[in-house]
Amino acid sequence: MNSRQKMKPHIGMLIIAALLLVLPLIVPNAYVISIMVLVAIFGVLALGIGVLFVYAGLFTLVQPVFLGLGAYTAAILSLRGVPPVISILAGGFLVAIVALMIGAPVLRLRGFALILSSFAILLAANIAFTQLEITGAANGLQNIPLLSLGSLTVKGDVQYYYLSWAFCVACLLICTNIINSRPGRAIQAARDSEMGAASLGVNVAIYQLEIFVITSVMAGFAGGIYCFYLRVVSPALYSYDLLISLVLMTIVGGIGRVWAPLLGCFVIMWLDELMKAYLGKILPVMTGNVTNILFGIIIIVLMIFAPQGLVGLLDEAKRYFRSVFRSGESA
Amino acid sequence: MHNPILEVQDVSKSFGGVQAVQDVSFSLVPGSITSMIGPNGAGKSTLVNCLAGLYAPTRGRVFFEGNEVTGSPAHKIARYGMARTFQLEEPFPYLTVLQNAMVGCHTKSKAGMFASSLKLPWMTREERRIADQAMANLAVLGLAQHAYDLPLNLPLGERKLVGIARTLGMQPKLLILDEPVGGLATHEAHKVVEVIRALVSQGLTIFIIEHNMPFVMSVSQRVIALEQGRKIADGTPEEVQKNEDVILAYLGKDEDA
Repeated sequence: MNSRQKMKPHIGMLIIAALLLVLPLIVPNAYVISIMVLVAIFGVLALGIGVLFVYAGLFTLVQPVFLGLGAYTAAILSLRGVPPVISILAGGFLVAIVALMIGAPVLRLRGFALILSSFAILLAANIAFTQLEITGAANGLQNIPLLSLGSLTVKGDVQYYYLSWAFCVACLLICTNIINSRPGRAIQAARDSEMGAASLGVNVAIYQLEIFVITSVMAGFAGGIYCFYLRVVSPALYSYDLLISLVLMTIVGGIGRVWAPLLGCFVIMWLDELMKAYLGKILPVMTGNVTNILFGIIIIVLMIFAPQGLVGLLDEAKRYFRSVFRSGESA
Repeated sequence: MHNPILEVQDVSKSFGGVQAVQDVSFSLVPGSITSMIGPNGAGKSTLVNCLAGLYAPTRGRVFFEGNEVTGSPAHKIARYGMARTFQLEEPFPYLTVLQNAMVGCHTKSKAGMFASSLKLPWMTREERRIADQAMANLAVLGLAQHAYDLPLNLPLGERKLVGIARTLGMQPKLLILDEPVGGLATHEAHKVVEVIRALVSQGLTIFIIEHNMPFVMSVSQRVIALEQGRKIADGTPEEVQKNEDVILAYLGKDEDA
């Protein structure tokens, strides 16, 4: 890897970061900004799923539970007068404990057993969110206070835009740094061969538990921000509909880069919005179903023609343009 | 006489009703090359898995440098300085050769999730040190030019060398090679022999599991033969080659004669 190859993606990243920074100024549209807030929040979850699926090889389906747990904890505490920032932190702390308790037994499982048991936890948590009195049962919780720290108050889409994206980028940096260093290598080694990793001194179980808890806590904090942004929490937001979207984002984003699921999240969220906006005009009655069918078709086409996802497509495009440039130079 | 680096006392391992290894005892002298031979299914790999902590022996004890390691988990035994390669497991296929070698430095580095997520300066320095060390280990085995390749794109001989290279990062005292030349062409096998001799000259103890008799006889100072989970011979290559039980195990009884 020479320095040029190393620098290139950084330049692309800087351009995207600059665009994100000035977006509210270029596009002062509340709708666009509000969708982008959701892209950042769900992006954090998709990132976590990508790290677990692609780098750790752990197919756990509980991410929405931790978003919900973070959101409900923050909502319940702040409704009882706990300062909002502390209630978000408490949510993250609770998520860490619950993730440890879930992860320690469940991560010993592999393959279908892991997928099914984690999915069972998702279903159980959803029932708990819908039935318990403390979570407001099926109605959820309303009138969540504003997110404030001292005299500072976060309100409005633009402020939440910056807050959620700052958090999302922080999570991306944390995940990237981990994947590209000793614990990340250990996790990937264990994904490829647990016996091989263990024979080189890697305590596989501990590393898998650690990465599971870290991605879960990220989801928990995202949940805290989410609940103050929406100012309501309702159980339907943290269930398998979200899980399916997240898995879709991860698949569409592709493998090979830590940020791929974030790209997938951006594309899926906006595709969904566009379809809602324009399909409604063409087919007003059956919009919801048609959207699902179209997403299904997109996945099938993508899996056939670009099994590496959007990241794979980008790489191929880069290679193509580079070869075009080369032949242009030599001519 | 040195104290043995590895001492195996009456180790047995059974799976359900199958006795894979039965009451095997031997010890390894530091700095020696010992080979274990035996037909397929003789229990060689099972025994290695018992030594390296992937299986817990059903009976018996294992001592490494005088300390009992029976039943310790594999990652702990690796930390004590016992390294191994695998017969069938390839190097991590989706990590580059360099990253494979860097995973090998796992026990000789300590950056955890916290230091890594924040890219603390000492972690970056450690990372550079590991990369240099891993690169040097690859160079020892002549793999430097493949540092950025994926092992799955390399020929079998080089993949086996990557398997050895990544254990060097652990700075092991004992290296167990499970079929290091299985399936290799002659010139590739020669390369492995050179590597083994070079490692022993640096003070490593080598324990080899192998089928390839010319290789075993040329490289080993001592040969142990296993048959149906039992030790049937133990001695110099010449002695073992002449042992009737070994000949019987390998060639079978000549019933036509």
